[in-house]
Amino acid sequence: MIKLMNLSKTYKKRSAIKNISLTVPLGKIIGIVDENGSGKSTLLKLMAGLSYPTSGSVTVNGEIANRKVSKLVSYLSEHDSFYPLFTVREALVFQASQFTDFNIAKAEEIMKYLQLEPDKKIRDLSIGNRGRLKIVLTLAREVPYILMDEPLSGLDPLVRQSIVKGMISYIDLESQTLVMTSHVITEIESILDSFIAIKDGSLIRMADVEELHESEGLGITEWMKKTYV
Amino acid sequence: MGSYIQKDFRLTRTVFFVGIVINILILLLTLFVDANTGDNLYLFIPLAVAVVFHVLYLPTMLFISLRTETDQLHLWLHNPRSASALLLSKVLNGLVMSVVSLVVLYSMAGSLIISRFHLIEAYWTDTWMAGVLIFLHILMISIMIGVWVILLWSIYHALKNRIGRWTWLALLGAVLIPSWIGALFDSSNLYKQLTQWGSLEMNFPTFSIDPILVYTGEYLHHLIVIVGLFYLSAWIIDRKVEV
Repeated sequence: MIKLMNLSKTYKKRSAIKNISLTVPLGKIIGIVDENGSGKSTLLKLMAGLSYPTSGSVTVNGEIANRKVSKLVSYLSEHDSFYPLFTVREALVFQASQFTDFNIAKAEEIMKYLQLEPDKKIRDLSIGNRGRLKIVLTLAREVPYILMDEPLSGLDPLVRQSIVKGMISYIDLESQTLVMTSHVITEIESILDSFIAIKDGSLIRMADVEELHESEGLGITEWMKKTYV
Repeated sequence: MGSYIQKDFRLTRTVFFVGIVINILILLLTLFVDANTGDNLYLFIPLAVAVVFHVLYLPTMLFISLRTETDQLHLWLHNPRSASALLLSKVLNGLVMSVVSLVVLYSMAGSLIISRFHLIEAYWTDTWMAGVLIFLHILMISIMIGVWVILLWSIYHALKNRIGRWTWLALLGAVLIPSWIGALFDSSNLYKQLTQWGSLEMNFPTFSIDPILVYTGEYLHHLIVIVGLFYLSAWIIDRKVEV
């Protein structure tokens, strides 16, 4: 599990994360929801060991989160994550050389599903196809934790729903957890088991979607409308 | 490691090939100087300047490569390999390019010497020895400047999110303070005691210059500084640089 204990992160004088404690279990699809710019990307980077807490701690399967936890965590950045001179296939081969857990057969399957051309240079791909390639590179790793920061940004709104559904079919919920963010929560709401709600860097709720529905009779979108006013 | 070296080559290959073209232009300039002055000494000035400028070759390659990684830092750093392995790949890539570029210049100089002069064997031996020593010293100085580039890059990226615009001041301090301490240490008796052993006398009888005395201890000292700065940079990247 990923465990956050009294986690705070300050950039210069701005608090991005304020005293968050929570546990991310295995076998779930979890969404991080917040208002824009209130800390969800920072939270994912802290979990991926790409950023360090100002105070508190993050552990992944008991290991302090730093660069080394990348062997347990597959991370998709909201920014471009490849060398533009590579072709799509070369990016896959390079990823396989970096991570022994990268399943190239699975990558090719996802690539086919997302209709990516393997011989095209990355610099010649459209923003949407770059987004698809990021999804391929992240999902084809066989690690316990997959963290995706805005995986749908740049994708055509018409195909987002089918990509979201496809994405979960490549996750093994017996052994993997997917934590993802999206600024349009309605697009991922249908696949989420749980959600982590943040406001101004503070945790305001972590709950199962089902539990929210049973206790308050609301979906995440309605609950957010009520809470983030 | 192979895939990293390949990737680092691709990040810097354009600059490498531009460098080779510049070498060829320098040869053309040399031939132009030859045609217009007819003086054998002037002939080697452009080539000699190009060779000396190679102390900046590796640092430039490292800077360009690290600058490219800055644009997608999460991609470079999100993997379990130690920063020392990631950096070593860049240093090796730059070093190989630097050696190739120097060999191209040396070959040009060598063929000019052969075509212009009819040197006796003693002259050839001294010329060859001096050339090899200059080659090795240029590489050593460029590695030293190169590890400073890596160190300053890592300090900059470790501090920029913490202290913002004051980072440049910290960088200035990171250059000036160790340089000052280093200069004090280098002029101390302790430094002489620690490094002035294993003397080697280099003689170039045909050049009419006094023998040059160098110490193995001083080379070891430079090696320790290079390795120390390299691992300090790797430590900073592994533990302090954030995406």
